[in-house]
Amino acid sequence: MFDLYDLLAEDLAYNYEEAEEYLRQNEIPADALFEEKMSGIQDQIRAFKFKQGISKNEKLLTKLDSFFQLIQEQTQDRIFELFPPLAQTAYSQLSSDGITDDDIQTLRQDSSFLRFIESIDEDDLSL
Amino acid sequence: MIRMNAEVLQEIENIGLEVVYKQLLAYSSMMLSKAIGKDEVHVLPADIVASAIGDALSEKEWNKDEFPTIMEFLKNLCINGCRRVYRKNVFSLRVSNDIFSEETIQAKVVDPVDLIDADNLKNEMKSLVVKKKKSIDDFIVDIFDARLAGYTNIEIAEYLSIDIKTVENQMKVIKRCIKPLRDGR
Repeated sequence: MFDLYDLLAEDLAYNYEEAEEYLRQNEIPADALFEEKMSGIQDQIRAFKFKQGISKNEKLLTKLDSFFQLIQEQTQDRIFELFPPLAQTAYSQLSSDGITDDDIQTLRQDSSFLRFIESIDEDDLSL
Repeated sequence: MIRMNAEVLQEIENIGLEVVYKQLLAYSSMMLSKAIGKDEVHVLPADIVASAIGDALSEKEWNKDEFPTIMEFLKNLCINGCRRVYRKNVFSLRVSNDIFSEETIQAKVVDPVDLIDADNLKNEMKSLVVKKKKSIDDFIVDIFDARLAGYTNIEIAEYLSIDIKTVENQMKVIKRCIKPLRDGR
């Protein structure tokens, strides 16, 4: 029996214009019924989306943290690769070629070398 | 804890919750008004549709092999809801008195009026479909009968050895020609 009625009613389930026309013709207060019957489900949907939003936000923040950490590590590596410490360069040159006036100038400009100089006791310098 | 099927929600929102609700409301109202013939039937379908959407979102498993689209899935849940109401109304216990023993008899029976109504509707539909039959090679009446017997379009195409597109097109013709009977009760 339901196959019989389904044949007659099927289009209404797929066609909005026909459904609206049917509801209007039969004086079914669809808007009011939607508000009344679906408000509970709409609340649940909103709550679900809110919860989903929070968990997505947390995931996003974790990923952002990992990203910043990765960038920081890679930046340090890159800086060391492009600009090796001046003191290291100066010392290596000193050991192989001996020291020149330019080398002394470079070493003085290198803050790490200056700190090294400061750390040496005055007694040692008098030697 | 909110348990919700995100895929079903997404599919419903792609169409629009209000659109889905109204289409199913019209469909369920039509099914029930034909099945149980109530004048004030619209409150019941409103509950059936809300319940179907709620179930689909939360607990019902969506079998995509059986119901490829979300509307087919929801429509099926609505049909089941309508069937439950129909069974409750039509197959509810009917009380009568035995004229010999004067005992009260309770029995689950189908009201003959319901059967006659359904039979009349079927005859009216068939007479409209028969008018659309163009030639002896036209399968429209056979398709109509097979559909009422519960066969799917694919099964009908195989059974009649015709193209599935032909069956689908003929189904559209059938639905158009029986449309005037929607509000005929």
